[in-house]
Amino acid sequence: MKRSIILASLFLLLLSLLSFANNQNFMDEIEVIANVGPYAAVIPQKLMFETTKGYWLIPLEDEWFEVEPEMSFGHFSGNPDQKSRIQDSNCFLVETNCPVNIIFEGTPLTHLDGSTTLPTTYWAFRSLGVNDIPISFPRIPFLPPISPLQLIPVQEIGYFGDSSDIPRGPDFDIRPEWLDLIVDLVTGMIWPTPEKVESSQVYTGINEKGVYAFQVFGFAGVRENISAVKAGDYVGEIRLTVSADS
Amino acid sequence: MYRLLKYLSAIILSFSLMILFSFTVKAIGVQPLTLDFSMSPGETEDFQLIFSSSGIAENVAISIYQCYQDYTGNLGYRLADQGSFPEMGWIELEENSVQVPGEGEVYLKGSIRVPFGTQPGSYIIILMVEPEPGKAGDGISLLVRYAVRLIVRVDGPVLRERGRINFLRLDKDENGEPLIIAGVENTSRLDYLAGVEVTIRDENRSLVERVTLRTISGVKNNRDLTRLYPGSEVLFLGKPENYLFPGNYELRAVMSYGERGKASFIDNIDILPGQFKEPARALNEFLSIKPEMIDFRLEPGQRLTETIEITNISRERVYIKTELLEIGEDNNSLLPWLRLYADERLVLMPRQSRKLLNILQLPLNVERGGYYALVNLKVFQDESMLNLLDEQFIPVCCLVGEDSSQEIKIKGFEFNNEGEQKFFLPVKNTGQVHLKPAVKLTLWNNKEELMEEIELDSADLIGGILFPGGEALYKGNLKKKLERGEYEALIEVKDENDSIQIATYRVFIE
Repeated sequence: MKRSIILASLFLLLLSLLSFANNQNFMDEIEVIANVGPYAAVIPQKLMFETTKGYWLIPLEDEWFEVEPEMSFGHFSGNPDQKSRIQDSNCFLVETNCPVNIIFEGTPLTHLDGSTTLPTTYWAFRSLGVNDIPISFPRIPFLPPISPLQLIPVQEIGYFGDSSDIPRGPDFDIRPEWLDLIVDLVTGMIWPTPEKVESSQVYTGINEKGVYAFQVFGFAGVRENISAVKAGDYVGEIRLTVSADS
Repeated sequence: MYRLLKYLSAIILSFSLMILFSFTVKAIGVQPLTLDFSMSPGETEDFQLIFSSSGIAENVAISIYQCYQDYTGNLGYRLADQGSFPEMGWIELEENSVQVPGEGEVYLKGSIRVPFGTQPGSYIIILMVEPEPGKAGDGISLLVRYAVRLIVRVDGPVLRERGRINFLRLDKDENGEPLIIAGVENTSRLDYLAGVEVTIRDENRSLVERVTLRTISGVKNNRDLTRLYPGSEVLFLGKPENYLFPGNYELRAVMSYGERGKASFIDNIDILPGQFKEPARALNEFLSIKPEMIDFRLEPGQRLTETIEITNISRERVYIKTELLEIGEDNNSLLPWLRLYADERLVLMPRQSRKLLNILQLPLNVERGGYYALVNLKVFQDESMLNLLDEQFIPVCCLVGEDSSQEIKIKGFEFNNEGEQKFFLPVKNTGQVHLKPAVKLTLWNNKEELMEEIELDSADLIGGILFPGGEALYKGNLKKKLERGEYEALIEVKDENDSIQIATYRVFIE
């Protein structure tokens, strides 16, 4: 019995060796290549919400959706006493399969003919996470809406722009009056000061594949010497340079 | 809380303001972001880049840039110039501009040719992929560009990695504490990973500490090694953990790079009294203690083993008595469940270390909350154990369960304008668990101009901890003298990084 088991095992081994040798011949002729290179994609995103209301106009839920990303400071009247402005955040979603570095740079608001600039500073954050959009959250009466994770700043990356030309402050012009109280409390903390502003900020915290969200706020204002500011449209640029980690 | 408020206000602003203008977004995906080539002079290699659509059709331009490594270890980019960067002539692209459709992918083929006579070494060429500028809009436009890095390693004889440390010095950081800075240069034609370690020895050649230095980029990435590109000069920085008493020290930096490369630099430094700010723990002239506190969270019935390493940092032999103590009557005590395994009397020679073992076994029926004990170390001059030189306390904090209420009460606010202008702030921990409070005072004038920000300190804390029911008096001096007028002081109390209390007070100076 024992001898027949050994013989059967040897026979099976011989068959498998022959089969392997046969496959080897085929394998010489079949080339299978899989190549996944380091990849990154950046998706600028701007979110807004609409509130669904029930009876007695009671808010029920907020639906968040995407709109065209933009950052506009609106119209400055030209009055030298006009306050500076902070503009809302646009977020960037970075999807990558490798560690990447991101350089944040920005140019000041510049007159279309390139002759004059307005003091402009930017402020970058890493956000808490990424929610799929559209998304709905229930609305709790008398409380602000719950916002998607990409609009919750958690890690300050820093201010960038021209440190020698920052908007006057801490003092800024916002429209909804009910925000004044909150903003007054924090203005001194969030307003850029020359020592905090760098020409660029580098974020090197993406160390593995995933989708990451970032936010950028803008500060802009007019100059005290109004004669140095030319009337017209002003444009600027926030530039993100994405590269693989070195 | 204050930081949260800051963030919340930013969030609220972000969706409260109106959209006035819009513009086309430029955002494609790019693959790969790096391409590595090992080539010989005269050789040509093909490559391709894949651009994936962002959902809308757009034109992207591909330009050749050169990169430079700044002192932080980060890479910067500038448009290549044929005169100063002849490598840009090595690249041939099928197109310098491609249209990426609204759906799908586009392939861009290119080739790289290393000319004959090229010296061996590493060459880095950047293909900058950026959307072509569209119609100028209003406001700020958002532009995303990708720096695709081509690393060409040209083989050749006598090609070795070389590096050197140009300087090594001890400076002050922004808080007045010692900061070791090593200036490192890649003097070879190859790129490599490099790291720097510094050993500090005192005048008796005893090892004080080994410090691993990192570049600023390495600190952000939590990495000891940084890739150095040919010709780059980078700073490696690090802070000694132990206080360096006035005296002579030898600093020896060793740079490790590439496969086997080593470079060293030795400097002797003389630290003068008062040259560096003395950290709180350096007030202990005899012992270095690691960790300075034991803080953990356990479930009922769990067991924990922890060691405490004590080192004699003085220049004399010391005798140490160890003991476990309770925090106070009001606090839940850990003593019934905590055992300290150490000789009651220890003798430590200069620079000698010893480990003390703590074992904690929680009973199954322990209630949720904070439990505390202190490890007391008394340092004596001789074996008679009569001449007490120093006494140190190591807090042992154990939180049982998940729930913990952190509360602090500011019991008053006082401003002293006689002589030196000082603030006093008595606080009490009214919560159920310990706190590590950091108190910051921000002062504004009546024009809402920021006058000063100061951190208030307290001498009443044990290891920086305020135990439940404990009280502490915080004090702080203003750097600049305030003039007559009315001011607003904002007090923020933080535990770790979380705000737990904010209060504002009016200050009148007559």
